[in-house]
Amino acid sequence: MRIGQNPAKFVQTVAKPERITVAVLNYIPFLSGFYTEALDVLENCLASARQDAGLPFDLLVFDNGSCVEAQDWLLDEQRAGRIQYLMLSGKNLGKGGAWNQIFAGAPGEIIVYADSDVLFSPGWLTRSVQLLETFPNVGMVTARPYRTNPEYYTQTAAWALQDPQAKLERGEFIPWPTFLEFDLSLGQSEAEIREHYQKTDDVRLTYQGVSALAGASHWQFTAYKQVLQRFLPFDMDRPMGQVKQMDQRMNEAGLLRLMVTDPLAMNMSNTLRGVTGKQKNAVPQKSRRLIDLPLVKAPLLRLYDKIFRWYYDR
Amino acid sequence: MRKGQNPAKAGVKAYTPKKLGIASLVSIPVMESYFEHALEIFRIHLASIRQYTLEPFDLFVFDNGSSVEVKNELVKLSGQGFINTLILSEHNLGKTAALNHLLGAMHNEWICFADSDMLFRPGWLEASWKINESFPGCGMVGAQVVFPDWEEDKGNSAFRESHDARFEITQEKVQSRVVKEYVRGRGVPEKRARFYRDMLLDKVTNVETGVEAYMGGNSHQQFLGPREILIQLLPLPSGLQLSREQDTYQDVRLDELGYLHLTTTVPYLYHMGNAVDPEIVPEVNKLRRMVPASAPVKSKVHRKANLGWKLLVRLYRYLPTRRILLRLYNNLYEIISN
Repeated sequence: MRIGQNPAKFVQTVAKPERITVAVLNYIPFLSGFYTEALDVLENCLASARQDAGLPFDLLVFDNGSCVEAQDWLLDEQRAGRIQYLMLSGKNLGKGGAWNQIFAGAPGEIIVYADSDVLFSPGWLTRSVQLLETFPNVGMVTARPYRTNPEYYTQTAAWALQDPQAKLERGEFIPWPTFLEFDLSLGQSEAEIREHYQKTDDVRLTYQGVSALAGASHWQFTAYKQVLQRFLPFDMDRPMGQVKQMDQRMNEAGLLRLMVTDPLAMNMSNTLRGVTGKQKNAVPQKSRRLIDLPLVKAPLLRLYDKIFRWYYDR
Repeated sequence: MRKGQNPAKAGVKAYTPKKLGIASLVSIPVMESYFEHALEIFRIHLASIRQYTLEPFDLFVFDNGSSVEVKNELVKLSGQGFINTLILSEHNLGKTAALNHLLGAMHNEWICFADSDMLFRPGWLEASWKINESFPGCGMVGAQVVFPDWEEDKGNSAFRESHDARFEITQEKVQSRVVKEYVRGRGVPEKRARFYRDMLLDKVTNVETGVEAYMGGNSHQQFLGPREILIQLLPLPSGLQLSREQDTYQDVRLDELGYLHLTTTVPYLYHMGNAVDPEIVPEVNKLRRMVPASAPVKSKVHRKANLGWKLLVRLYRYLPTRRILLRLYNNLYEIISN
């Protein structure tokens, strides 16, 4: 029964969310194996997002069913006032399922999405929002240039060719070290990366004195909430691998997909190696170790996958 | 850089939301004064949802800037599996802003929303489904009798003008025991209670199925609706922590869209408010076993009357003092909760 008046009824003001919500999706099911350094990676991700972003924002972290240690760390961060909205899911909803909740629930007019292994550089947010607000009909902006699948930015290029105020150039606009740094972080060999670099090129667009590269990606992007909501809901029956549909569908909808021209976001993946920028050259293996033999590697990987499923696919 | 293979990429199935999602909104900024028993009330609320919802569901809890103790408790309950998704907001964004978040974020086919002081009773969901099945175009079904205080609460405008022989509209007074419970739960003053006792509510009956429902009544404290309809109401206006005007918007919008807003004719919910009503202690004690580590339920409402207390009560009854004290109380609340 109600006794007295709820004082909340007399409060005339509430906290106003910032115009921009930066949303980070995290999943650390355990702190060993692939995820040994995952908490350090997450800490660097959040700290770098806050450092000299250039614009005010609220930080939202969606935890997709992580282990207790990871959730405890996130709770401590929120208690310290560094996370404004913390969403703790008991189960892994997959990236699509998490996106469904984040993009519909985040309070900001502009939503910045990032995987929890993204390392930001100062000014990343200002530059991303500048592209979002300068170019017309923008779908998404990624804070790093790299070469994405041209099939997903055909509409961006088509717009630039049609609009007399826009300039389109093709060529090598991403410097080799920048290109190499990112692709190495994905676990590719230097030889593979060099071949990719030589065989492809970049599309640079200039509009109202601001330059951008064509393309964007689902691991980090800035977008208007109302634009993202047009693409909801996403399929969510798998934890990963179904998010490319965002890239495809945005292109099909005729929305621009852009990247800033210099590297303001980097993929740390699951370790902090290379975070300082001192990227080691790939070391050629002198000899194939026993465990790299296909007959040995395949069953070991199957066992590794099986163990993960036993514990985390229930 | 990446070292090894991410095991999550190996095609492991992601969790798929259940047909029904239940959302609860918590805001307990302090553990004193008005909110002294609020956490215990929430535990009972949670237990009643778990006990009396006989279909699988996902439970979302949005914490709207509660104190650290409350947040810790919610995290504990989440870890124990009582809460499926916990959303912790650093600040109180207001009820409607939290609803904007919740209704958007939940991707269940059906969404039930409830304030964290609502006690669910056996049969609430079954009765709600029956209404939904018997009346086409339901946008919101409330599982309690709600008296429409405002004209906007009545809703169902298009339906009232339709002439479908399957539906018979009548007016009736609500049973006195239901009114009694309603006013007790909400702390309604006697003058208003008399008004409710005499009020005629619009009742609709499906003559084919015999299912009855009351038409309208602002059931913002609890409602069940299809997600595809509820998201059409968004965004709800926000800017206040709690506001009757902002709560009413959802009813007005629902009516504009032509959807029905009905409630059960039997109270399947009880508004617990901020203290356990002695009359419901037996009902509550049945639920206490559900949520572990729960403190014993206290039905104590009245303080021991010492001289100082009596003096304070007398002073409080004096209107100017009451105004000053209330202002002081609310200012303190604002300072503490921010």
